Amino acid sequence: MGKQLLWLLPCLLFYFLASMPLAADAQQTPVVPLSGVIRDAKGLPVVGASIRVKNSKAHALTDSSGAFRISLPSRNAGLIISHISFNEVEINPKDSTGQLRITMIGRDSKLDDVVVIGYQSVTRKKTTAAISSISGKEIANLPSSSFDQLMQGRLSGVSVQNYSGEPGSAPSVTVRGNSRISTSYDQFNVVSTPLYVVDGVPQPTETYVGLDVGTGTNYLGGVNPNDIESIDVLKDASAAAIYGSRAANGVILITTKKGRSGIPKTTVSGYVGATQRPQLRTVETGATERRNKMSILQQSLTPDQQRQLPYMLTDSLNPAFNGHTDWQDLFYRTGVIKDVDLSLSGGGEGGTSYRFSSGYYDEQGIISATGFKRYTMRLNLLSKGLGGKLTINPVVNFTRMDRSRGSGNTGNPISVAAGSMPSSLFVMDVNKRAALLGEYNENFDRNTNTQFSFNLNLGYEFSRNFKFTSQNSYLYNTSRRDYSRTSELNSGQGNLASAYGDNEINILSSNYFSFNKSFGQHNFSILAGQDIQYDQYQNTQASGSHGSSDVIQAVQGFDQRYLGASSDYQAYGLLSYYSRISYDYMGRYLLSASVRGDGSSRFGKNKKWGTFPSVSLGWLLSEEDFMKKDKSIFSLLKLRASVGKSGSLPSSNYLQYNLYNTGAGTYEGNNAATAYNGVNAITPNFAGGAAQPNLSWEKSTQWNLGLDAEVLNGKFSMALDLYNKENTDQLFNVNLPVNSGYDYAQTNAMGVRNYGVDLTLAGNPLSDRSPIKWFTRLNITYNKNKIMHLPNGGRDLVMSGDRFNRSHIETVGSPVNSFYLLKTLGVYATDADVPANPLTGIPMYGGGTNTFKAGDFRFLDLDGDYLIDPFQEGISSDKLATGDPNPTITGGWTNNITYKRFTLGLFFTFTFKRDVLDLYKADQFNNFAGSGSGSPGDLAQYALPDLSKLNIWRKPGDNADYAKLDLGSYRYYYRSDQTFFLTPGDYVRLKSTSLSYELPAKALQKIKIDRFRVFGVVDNLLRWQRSKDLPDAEAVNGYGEYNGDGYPIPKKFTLGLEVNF
Amino acid sequence: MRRTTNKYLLAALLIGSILPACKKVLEQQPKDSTYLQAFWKSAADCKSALAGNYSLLRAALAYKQNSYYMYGDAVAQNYFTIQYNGDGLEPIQTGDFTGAYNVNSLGDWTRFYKVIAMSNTILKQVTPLKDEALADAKVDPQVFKNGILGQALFIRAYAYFMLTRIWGDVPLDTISYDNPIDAPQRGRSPKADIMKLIESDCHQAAAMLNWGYQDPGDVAVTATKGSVYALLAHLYLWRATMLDVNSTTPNATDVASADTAINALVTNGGYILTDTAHYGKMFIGKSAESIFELNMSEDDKEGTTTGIGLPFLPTKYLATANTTPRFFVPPTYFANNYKFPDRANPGFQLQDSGDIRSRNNFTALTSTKPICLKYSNVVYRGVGQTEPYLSNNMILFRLSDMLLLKAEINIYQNDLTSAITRINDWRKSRGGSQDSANILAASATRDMVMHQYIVERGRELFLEGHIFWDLLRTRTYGDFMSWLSVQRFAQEGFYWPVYPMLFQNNLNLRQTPYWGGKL
Repeated sequence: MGKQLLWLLPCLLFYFLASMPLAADAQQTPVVPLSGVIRDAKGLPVVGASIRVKNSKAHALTDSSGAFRISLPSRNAGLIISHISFNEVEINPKDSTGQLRITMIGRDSKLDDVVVIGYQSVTRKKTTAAISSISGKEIANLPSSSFDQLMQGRLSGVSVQNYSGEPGSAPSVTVRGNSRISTSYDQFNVVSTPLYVVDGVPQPTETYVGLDVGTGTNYLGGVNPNDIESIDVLKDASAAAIYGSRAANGVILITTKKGRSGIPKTTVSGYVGATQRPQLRTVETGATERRNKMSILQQSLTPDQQRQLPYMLTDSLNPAFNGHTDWQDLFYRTGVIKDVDLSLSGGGEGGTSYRFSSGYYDEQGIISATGFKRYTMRLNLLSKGLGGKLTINPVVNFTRMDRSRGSGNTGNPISVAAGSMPSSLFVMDVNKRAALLGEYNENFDRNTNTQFSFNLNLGYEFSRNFKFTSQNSYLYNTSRRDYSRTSELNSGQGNLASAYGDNEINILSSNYFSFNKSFGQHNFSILAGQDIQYDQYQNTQASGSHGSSDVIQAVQGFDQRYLGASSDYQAYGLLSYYSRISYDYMGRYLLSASVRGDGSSRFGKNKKWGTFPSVSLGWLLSEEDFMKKDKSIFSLLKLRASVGKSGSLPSSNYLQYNLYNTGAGTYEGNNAATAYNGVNAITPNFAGGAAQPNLSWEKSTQWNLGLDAEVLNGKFSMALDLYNKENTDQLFNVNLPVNSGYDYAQTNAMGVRNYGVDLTLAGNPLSDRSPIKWFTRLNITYNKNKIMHLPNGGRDLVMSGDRFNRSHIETVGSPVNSFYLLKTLGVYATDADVPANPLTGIPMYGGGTNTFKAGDFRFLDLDGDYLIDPFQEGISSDKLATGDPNPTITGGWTNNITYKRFTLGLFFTFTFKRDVLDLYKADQFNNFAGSGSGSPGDLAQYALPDLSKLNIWRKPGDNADYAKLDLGSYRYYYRSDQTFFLTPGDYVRLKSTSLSYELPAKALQKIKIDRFRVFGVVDNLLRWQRSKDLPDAEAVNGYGEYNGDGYPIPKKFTLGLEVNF
Repeated sequence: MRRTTNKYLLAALLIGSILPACKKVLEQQPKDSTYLQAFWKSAADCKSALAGNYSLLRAALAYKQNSYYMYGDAVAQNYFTIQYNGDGLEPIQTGDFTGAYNVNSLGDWTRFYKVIAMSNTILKQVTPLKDEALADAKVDPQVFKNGILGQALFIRAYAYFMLTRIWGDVPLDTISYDNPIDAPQRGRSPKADIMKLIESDCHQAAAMLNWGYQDPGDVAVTATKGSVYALLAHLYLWRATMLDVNSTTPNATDVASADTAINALVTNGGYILTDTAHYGKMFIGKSAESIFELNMSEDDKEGTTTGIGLPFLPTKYLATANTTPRFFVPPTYFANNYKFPDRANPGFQLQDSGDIRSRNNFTALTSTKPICLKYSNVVYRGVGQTEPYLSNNMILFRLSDMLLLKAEINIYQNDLTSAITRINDWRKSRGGSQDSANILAASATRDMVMHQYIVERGRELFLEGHIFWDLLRTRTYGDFMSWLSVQRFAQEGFYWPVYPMLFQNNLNLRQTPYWGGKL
């Protein structure tokens, strides 16, 4: 106390000395009273703006109507008006009379925005890490079933590809490239996924069953995009390392909206619209199809064979075969999309606040019987106790999602494969048609997910500098699928029913201390804590078939022989300790270091624990005196550097255990046998891999160099990051000696490197005085990936489980999942063009006695042995690793143009430098090229692509692009593993176009409404792409393959309104 | 100042109190399966593991359209014919083993090593089990334990016997690896060593196993001392003639050992020859004649949709069959095995149609594609004759096989008279024609006797996985098949090539000599 008094004395003295001349001055001129109103660009009152008089101590604040009153020392005195959300305004009220009307313009600068960095948040100005953020406003009220889809193009360093347009399905999301390598084909787990953290709770997004067994609904669909306050993506290791063992592929932090103190506010928003199918692939129908097919047959078949032409083609008068249906069309419809959201928020004395929101989203798919519905409820309460020291913040969330899935499977929502659509000529009877269309009404397929979470966040302030936080959460997720099919759809074998249910609990307790203190110019912030997380998952499934009545849609009354049941139990635990120290000197030199230690139940005794450190430095050049001196245009210039290590957990919970194979009686001919001579058979898991006690963590080491700049108070800004991320020790199966009995064991063997550049440019190019405001932001991410290490001395690994002709390879130096293809050089015009082996005189051949002939594709004979390997499941001496299925350049371009009360939003997303293998095209030609004696029939019964525009080889001497259409030769001209089917995957999409209008505030005030906005959104309006073959260059799976089976990405048109009162 | 200290202390206590309880979260045991640490604790575990061992053997032999018959019968060319369907299987019948689909399946021995690894695991894990752990066996724990170990040894020996017959020299491993990543990459051991292992495994197994069955449910489908002796007999005869293919004189010791083994089996095994009236039922399974067979019975829902008999059957016998079955029995088979000169019409031949084996096993004899009905016990799981499963066990050893081998032993021991008697008696007992042209004369030469011996085996053991090995062992392949020349035989060109992918990680492995540079 004594010390403080001593300080006070000189201050008082100084005060008096300084104020003397001013006081004298004030006596010379009379005081001028002034009043005014401050509004924002939209005419709404600005509350709490501060008005200061230049060279004077006089100041005032605006009230809730934006009005203020102040006394000026003189007519000439200038006013400075400031507010945290607006640009500072300087005016001279000398000439104005009466009430001042001042308009404040929203602040461009984001420097004071807060970004979440895991357990803490800091201002953007002081962060030393590479973080991309967007505000929830950007993604609110857009017609999409989950927020992950909406992140596309809006965050640099994050690549989102919507493989499927199916409502409720998940897009693929990668942060700074894909590092997942697997040599077994799995279309739904191709890329490495980031960790999602919602309000401090890492989400359990693991799936334990195939998408076709469970509901297959996107877990993240449970978060209502309208509840999101902000999304922050921790891209580099210095930011992500605080999440340690799960952060190797980036961390996406979602912060939901909280209550704000003040008068209660209610917001109602909603929209309604339509979803529309995209353009169909072109097929020939009716007479054209018949004519073209006949001409192919006449060309390929001998007169003898032509005696047995399929009736379908020859009997054009037969009413069963005279249709002209484009079957694709039957499956599509125009869907309706609806959304309503309601939120209440407010607060009272003592820091109490609340927010409640509830939402309903309903999207009908463009394919019959597909759709997605979501009901959400979220309550966030905050109360303080013990004199404001104790914070109690319960958050309750409930979501229910219902999904309809059509009659196909997850890979294909339609019951017919795209590559083998029926011929347009078929006129099917009612039952057949119903069977083909899946007779959706009689089928029963209900998929329901519910997510319940309860968070209790407690905080206690020991002192202003020292705080304890305890975040506790309990998640309870269940999903259920009930499915039945009528007897008709099971080829008359009786009805089928199955039921699946699972539930998952996830408990997290996160407890940490934070301490902030400044010693002179030295500012410290220290965080230390511990997390414990436990997750338990259980499921039960039952099914029955060969039932006796279609009415029975539950698993009831089936014959014992046709009943199946199983259940599963999975659990894991994670125990973590972490700490972060941030230090800055004079707010110019920044240092941050963190370390996390994670212990996981998934590893054996010796390797349970992993340590993940990081360090980062920042230098705020713009704070230096030499920059400030001559009124630099830079409001921010910051250099950043970071390096750190994070990890990734294996997906299997029981890696350390040598799990046995029970019911192991299967053999070729009986996949369901569980026993030998009635005795249940148990063996070690010879085929599934041997347990490894010494498996360790997958590690990711990343460095990042960044530059942030902001000029003219945020009129323009830039963030540039260069990075290099090395993922090492990824788990991989190595083949074991055959004599061990085991096929493979997992080891830490793989290494993938991702490196590239993230760039964000943002600006308001038009002058401040322009009546039109234009905000524009461009995100570009360039990411290159490369395999660095493979097991077994770096031997190439050919992917298995995909197509018959393996078309992907993992090889050191090439990108992950590179295509593995024969190089197509053209089409042999004549037999004489086929090169012959000079030693033997035998023409180039494709195995056996199958020599190449005129009209065949000409392949590059890489090893020069005059043999193009006809089929190889391993390494082929004629195939090359070519083409990169991973998107190299991705990003988005945001534009918001505001004029008066209108706002036009144009948002583009793009992907460049990606290759796509068009399997659909290959399939169509293969429909009749390789099926032996049945091929005329195959040709007859399947839809035919439009051949008239294709340069197909027809007679010797033709210089054709396409090989000849040959029937039943078993010659596989159109094998899919050739560069002929490789096509560029580049596209630019006008993803979202929106126009909104805000009613004038004045008019609304009379009816007690704060804000009324109407808006219209068009999703996916336009697309430009390089490939002429692909219907949609984005609707391509993670392996860069288009097989036609996916769910097309629809166009959506919506109209909505938002009301605040 | 003091208050601040208290606060920190309180905070430290808070954290400290949570810590110890947390460690438990890092120990999560699987509940979705059993695992090494939890298994091998009871007699029931041992039984399941043994069932696993049999299952693996069944899977190995049923793999690739029942490889047991592909190796043992299909390559012998004239016993049944595989027609073209695009999978490239049929060239094996003309001695071309290089087809990509064949070399990657039939040329791959991996599945046999899974059988062996399972036996090795059982031997390692069951041997140290204490009697208390086996209290649930309901029999004397020591007897039970011997039963398990003996059967595992037998299965291992059988797997090695298949391996050495198919490939000659093969990798040898009898170790169960705690951590299979430590297993060495083994090259091929000389076939003599493999045979030695089979012999010693059999001897050990024979000492541990009993004659006959305690549980009637186990009849024929589990191994007994009799099964071991049958395997031994085959091993000895194979070794007697095939260890050195260029030797024309069989190893007398091995021949004598084979004789001893068969005699012991006949005396003590309690096996009974099936009579003519019940002949067909034998191939469904668990007959009194059967010495060892693999259970593939629909009684236990272990039937097969790809059983060896199914591809022969037309719609009359298999409701879901294709219009043209893929397999048929070529007329040459009947010419070779069932026809004899017609004395009344010189130049013509008569068919021995009275033989029960001809009557039971075949139909449509006069067509160009006769049908084999030996394995045609089709059971439909679905209503309206859908979902057909073949419910015929895979017979590996039966008494007839053993008794016929006695004739071969007689020949090797130059006791042609006994051999002739055996063959003639055998044919008579099966209802064969007693026309003198269908009977071996007492004056027959060794070659003639050997030829008729193979004819008789071709009749009795048609499609039982024996004939190709018989043809090799007795050097009669030249009479019955065309692709195996004397030179190719001398170069051991009857062995299979090794799937090239197996060389990928194994530098110690060499290709079968005959196939070097041919793949």
